[in-house]
Amino acid sequence: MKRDVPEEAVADVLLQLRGLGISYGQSDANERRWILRDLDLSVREGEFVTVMGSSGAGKSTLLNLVAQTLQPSAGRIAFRGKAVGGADMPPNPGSNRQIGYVTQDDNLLPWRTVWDNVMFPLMLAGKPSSSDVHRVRRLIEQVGLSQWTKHYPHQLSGGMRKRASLARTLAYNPPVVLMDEPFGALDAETRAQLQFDLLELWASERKTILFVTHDINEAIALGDRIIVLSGSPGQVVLERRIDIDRPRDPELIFKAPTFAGHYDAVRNCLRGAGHS
Amino acid sequence: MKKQKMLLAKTLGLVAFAAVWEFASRWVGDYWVPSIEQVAGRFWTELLAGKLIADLAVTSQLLLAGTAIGTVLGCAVACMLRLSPRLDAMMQPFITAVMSIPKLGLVPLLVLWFGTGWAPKVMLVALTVLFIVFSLTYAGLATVNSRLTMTARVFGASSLQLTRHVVIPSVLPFIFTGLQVALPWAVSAALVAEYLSAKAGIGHGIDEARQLSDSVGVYYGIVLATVLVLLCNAVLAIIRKLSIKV
Repeated sequence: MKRDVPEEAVADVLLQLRGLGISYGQSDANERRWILRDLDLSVREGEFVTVMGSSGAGKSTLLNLVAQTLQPSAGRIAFRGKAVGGADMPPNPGSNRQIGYVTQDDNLLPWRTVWDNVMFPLMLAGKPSSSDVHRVRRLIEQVGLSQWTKHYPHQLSGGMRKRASLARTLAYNPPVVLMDEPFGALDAETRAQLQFDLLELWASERKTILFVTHDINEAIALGDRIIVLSGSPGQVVLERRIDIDRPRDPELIFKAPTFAGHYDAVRNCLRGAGHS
Repeated sequence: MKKQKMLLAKTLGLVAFAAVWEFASRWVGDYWVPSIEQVAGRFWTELLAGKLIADLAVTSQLLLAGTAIGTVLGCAVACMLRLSPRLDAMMQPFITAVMSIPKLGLVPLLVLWFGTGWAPKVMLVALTVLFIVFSLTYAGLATVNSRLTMTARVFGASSLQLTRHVVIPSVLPFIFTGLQVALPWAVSAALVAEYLSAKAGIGHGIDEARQLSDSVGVYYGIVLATVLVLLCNAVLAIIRKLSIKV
């Protein structure tokens, strides 16, 4: 593995994956089909990590493992140094509400209005406090949906649904937010606007983000660090720090002096991975 | 279509229906087809006598009790089978077999088992509703979006919360459709049950009129039963609208 990132100091590591793997099939380790294997990754508090990889490399699987909707077959997941998941622990998604997950589809509940959808995670934990309500109102304003709180998801455009989904995930204030190609199905203009808004939210909310994308521009524009997964079983084949100053304008990211270098490195890695 | 035009079309339909009825009555004689006037007259006298409301109430109670029991059992069986694939595999052939038995054909058996009281009548209606609601609920449970349940679980939803906020809203439209399909069948079942053993009710009235060769009474009963179906359908539509927002 090519690493141009020094080992992290353990102190501010929020999320740590060690030897993580998942497989299907036989109980005998050699006959199993591994989707991901021996994956190590440390994510610092407040870091924005973008995950790329050829299709089938296990990008979404990685997020599902972190969200604990899948149980790993090997390795462990630690949160602030404390083991929260692993091959020997039954998966328990949502048990500590530390993880937010924005999936490829917006997954809004069609029978709830925008307001009730955003309140949904808070309502599950009990009666929302007035500060919760205040926070939700502010978040909805930040994603630009103040006029649409009483509308149902089917009355909104794809971009607006995505915004509602984002607000819903941030509503219960999870320290880690997983995002699985959230802007993949949107038109270029909406996508650029959402990328911009996401960076603003990330800066104001101080979240740690793990963001899967297949768009190299997006990965460079958003991330502090890019990791590339590849192969079968999937492993980290490239880890690259993006040293472009913030605040960034995702639409004009290609103007950054170091952009070409990052782009080529990632593209070559993805290509090489695709051909091998 | 505009509201006025819709109303016009409906009125035209009713007028055409009345014309055919009246023509048939004059053509074949009022023993075969009594005139609208005679049947309407019977509605009026029965209303004044209080028998119309009484019969309607008796049959409605039977319908309501049977439908409630059938719906609860139908949903319960569907949930049980969906929760346990083993039970599902075990029960499927039997359910298909039992479903293919015409429920009205079970009347003699129900009378043998439970006599001629309220129990066999309610049971017949319940059985009729049960299988229809079961089929729709069973199909509906398969359509619950697994991505929605996954999202809710990541938000920390318990099984109970998952059921209440994701599963039930997903399945509710199917249950209502099942009820709407089952309604005319349930009314038929209630009438047949009342033909056989009853002291009151729309079906009892029809059977009594038959014994007296009172064709106006039979027509009156059939029209009353139709009115009951339409009324129930309207009530069902209102409940559906109130409980399903999208």
